[in-house]
Amino acid sequence: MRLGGLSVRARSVVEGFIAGQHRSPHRGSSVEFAEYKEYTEGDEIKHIDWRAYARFDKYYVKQFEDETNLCAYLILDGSGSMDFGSEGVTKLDYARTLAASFAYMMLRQGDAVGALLFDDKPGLYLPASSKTSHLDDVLQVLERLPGSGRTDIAVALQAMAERLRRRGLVVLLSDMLDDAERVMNIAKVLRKRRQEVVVFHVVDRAELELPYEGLTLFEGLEGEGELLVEPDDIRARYQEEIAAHIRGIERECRDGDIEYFRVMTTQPFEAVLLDFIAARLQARR
Amino acid sequence: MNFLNPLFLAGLAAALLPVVIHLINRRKALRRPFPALSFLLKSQKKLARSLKVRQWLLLAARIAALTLLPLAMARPYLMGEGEDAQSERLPQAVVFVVDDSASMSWGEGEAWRKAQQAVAERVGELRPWDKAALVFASRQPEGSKGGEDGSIPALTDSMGEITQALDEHKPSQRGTDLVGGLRAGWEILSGVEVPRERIILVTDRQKAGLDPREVPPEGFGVPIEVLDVRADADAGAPNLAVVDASYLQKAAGPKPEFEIEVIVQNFGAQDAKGVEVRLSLDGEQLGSTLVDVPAGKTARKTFAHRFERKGLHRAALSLAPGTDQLAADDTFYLPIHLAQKVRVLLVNGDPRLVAYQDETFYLDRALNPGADSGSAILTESVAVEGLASVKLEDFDVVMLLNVEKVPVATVGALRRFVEAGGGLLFSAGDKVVPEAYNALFGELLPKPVRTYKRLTTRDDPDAPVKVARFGQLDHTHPIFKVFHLPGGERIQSVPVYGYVLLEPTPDAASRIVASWSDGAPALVEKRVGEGRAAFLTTTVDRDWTDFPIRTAFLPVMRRLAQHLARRGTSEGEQRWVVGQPVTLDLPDGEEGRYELQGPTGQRIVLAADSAQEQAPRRFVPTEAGHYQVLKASAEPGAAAQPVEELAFAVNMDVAESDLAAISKEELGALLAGQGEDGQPRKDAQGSPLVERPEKRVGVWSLLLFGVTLLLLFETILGTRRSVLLRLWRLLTRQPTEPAL
Repeated sequence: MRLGGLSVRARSVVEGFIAGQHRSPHRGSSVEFAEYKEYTEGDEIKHIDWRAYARFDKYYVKQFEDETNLCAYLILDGSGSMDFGSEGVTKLDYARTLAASFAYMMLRQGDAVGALLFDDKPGLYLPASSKTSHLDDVLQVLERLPGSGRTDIAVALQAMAERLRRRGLVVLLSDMLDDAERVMNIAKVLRKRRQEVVVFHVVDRAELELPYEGLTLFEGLEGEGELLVEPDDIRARYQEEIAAHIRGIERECRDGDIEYFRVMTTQPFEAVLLDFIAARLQARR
Repeated sequence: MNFLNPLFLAGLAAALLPVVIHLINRRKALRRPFPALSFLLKSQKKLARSLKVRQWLLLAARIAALTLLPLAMARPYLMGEGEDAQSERLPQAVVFVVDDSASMSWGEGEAWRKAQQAVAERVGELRPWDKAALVFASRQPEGSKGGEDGSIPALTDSMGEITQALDEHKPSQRGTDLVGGLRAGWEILSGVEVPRERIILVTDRQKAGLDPREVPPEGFGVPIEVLDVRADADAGAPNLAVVDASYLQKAAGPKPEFEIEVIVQNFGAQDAKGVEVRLSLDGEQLGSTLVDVPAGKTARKTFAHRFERKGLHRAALSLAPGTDQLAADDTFYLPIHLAQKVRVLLVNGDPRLVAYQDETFYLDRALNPGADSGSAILTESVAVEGLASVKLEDFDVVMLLNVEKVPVATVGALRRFVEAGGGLLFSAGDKVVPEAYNALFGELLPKPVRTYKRLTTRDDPDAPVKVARFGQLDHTHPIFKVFHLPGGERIQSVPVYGYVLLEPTPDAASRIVASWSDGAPALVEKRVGEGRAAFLTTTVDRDWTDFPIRTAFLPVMRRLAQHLARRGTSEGEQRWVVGQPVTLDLPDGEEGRYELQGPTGQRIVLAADSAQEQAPRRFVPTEAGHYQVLKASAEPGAAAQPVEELAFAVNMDVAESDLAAISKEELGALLAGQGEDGQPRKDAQGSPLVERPEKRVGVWSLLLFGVTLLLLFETILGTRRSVLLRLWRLLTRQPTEPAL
């Protein structure tokens, strides 16, 4: 997917409905210096403190309190299991587009957006920024989602927790094929640190229904091995297992005050975002 | 197993197809990447066992179906006993000769059920134009008419009658008579004009039921098919039977003691240990005992019983229920007759005109005080001269009272009387001459008489010191047992003025029961044959003693009479067997009708065997048990009264208890008879006369049925679970589970 394509899609998703609908709940009051932070890729060059550079021969960036209205971080699952799509669109593509649309929507209303990619370890990280031009950075990062390797959501969330200094919004986009309990424990820690956590659980319909017929050799996408089986023989049992897994995640999110959205890859992005906004508005009331 | 189309067996190779297809399918399996493989693995792990079983079952069903199909198409068949194809048969006349002897009730009727089933099958194979008859091969009474036993002794084309008659019939308690049954079958077929005749013999092949000497050497001249319904092994079939029982009176008296002996025989090849034998009297079980019976041997056990009342007692000696598989021979019925009265013949050796001087005066009154006394002892007096004309068998005891001599012929009759169980008493007196007595009676005397010894006379003033009295009494003897009790010592005061001395011979058979105070024997007894002889060495009148007027006289003489009386025994009694005629000697000169009541209560009127008015009556018992004869009262409406002395018992033929079998080959050769060449005879076509023809029993239809079942099974098992699940929900109207 080219960058231009992703950008267009994100814009077209958001432009149609966003105007006037979302207001940042956080109002910045002043630009007050808070601390230094070592420069990393994506930081604004204008925030480099040249004096500090002169003293320590290292780039330091100034951090400010309430720099923007809202700081949102997109945490994207780039594991092998995401590179699956039974109906044209892979979960990876879907999550990428949804993340891009989300970033565009946030930046458009002046909120800052950052991103973190992961598979079984934290990957590319993009610090949050509210600059309009930051969208290109976000899209660049999203384009680099690998779509391979194992999944370890908890490690990614932990890495994110270490980076976050101020209150914000953590948006996790994943197929959640991981140890749900472990993931949710970390998510709850984030929640306790006054971070709002939103989970977009990206699901392919085939994962729910196992619609295949005939003797099939299933191959794991994350190196789990193979299984030769007649899908009809185990369908009912599989559906029970996967449903129990999803219900478990839903329950954990509900208990941990984490917003949860199960998103089918066939679902329109606008609808997903509208659901998200509607839920937030309802929560604010 | 044989095949009509063996070429189709090549199709058995198709049985490998499911395996090959399974392997090919495995290779052709579609590879499909799937993200939630861990959940698939988890699901598969939980279902692995049932999936594996299902797959194996499916594979087995497919292989079995593909194996059975070519097998069925090859048209396999088995060779079984039976006829040729029915279409090949011409009209035929068949006589079913069915063994209904007691042994056919083996195993709670298992053999009989097999016989019924076998006949029903054969009847089912007959065509409408065939004819059949039914004969039972158990020992029929002489002169019995065909059909009395439920058989159908004439050919009929109504096959239902045959099966119905057999269904209603039960195994009898009679012995086996295969030859008789076959003869009857042959007679039915003789003169019948049909292309084919044959006898179907249904038997358990009991060896005892077939006497080779009875089989005509030339055979029966009719093809005989043997249907074997034996339910057990040929040799050493386990069976125990009560084969005999007897009784013997051990002691007389108001409550006589009897010994009842039972004989149990083990016909099997294994020793039987701890077999419970029970004694029942008049329907009440009195006791039981355990007996070990070695294989092929008999064992005896004796019950002792003291009867409370005289008259008839119905005994049954039986094995405990469930001891063996043939219950019919586990009980032996034995009537026990206890004489109501002791009949005593007093032979008066010194009759007098003055009553109290008569030799029998005191004794007669002691034994039978009068008609109103109800005494259990009946007396009859006779002079010595009249003794020869008396029928001694009508008496239990004969008392020779101071008898000088009797005719030699009478002595012989007395000896036979005593040897047969009667009792004989000699009492002394002035007529007894020692030498003549010893010469005349010889061995009948307990001890030879030596001499007469006069001690004193009644009017002698010194008599009290000269007399002898009763001295030593044998208190273990039944006569004097009671004198050991308080008051019994008064017998010792009886004075005796004279007695005869007996020779002191060392005769072990003699026993001195009482002695005088001077040591001389007073009463001596001796066993002679089955009976007893006793010698009282003084008089039974007052010539030599005052004993007759003493109170002890009455009990001593009564007990002596009862002790000497003929003992009750079953020896010599006629043993009646089921199926064999019973001849009853009804009392002469009696008027009125006699009836016979069997074990089940059914009564039959006894018919005269001949035109003579009082001829012996005959009847043929059909079941074992106790029978009683009833005499109908002359008065209308009055109940018939049992005649106890005519009661008898009927038991099963012992031969029927031996379940050993004759081999099929031996039976076939025996029934066919021998030709001139010494070989079993054959018919005009050269077929054996005794056959167990084989017929083809097709099994392909069974195999095809199996294939159908397997395919049905495969269809159900092979159908997709989701389809079955939907079908199930549709049938049970269950709602589909809500989606996530």
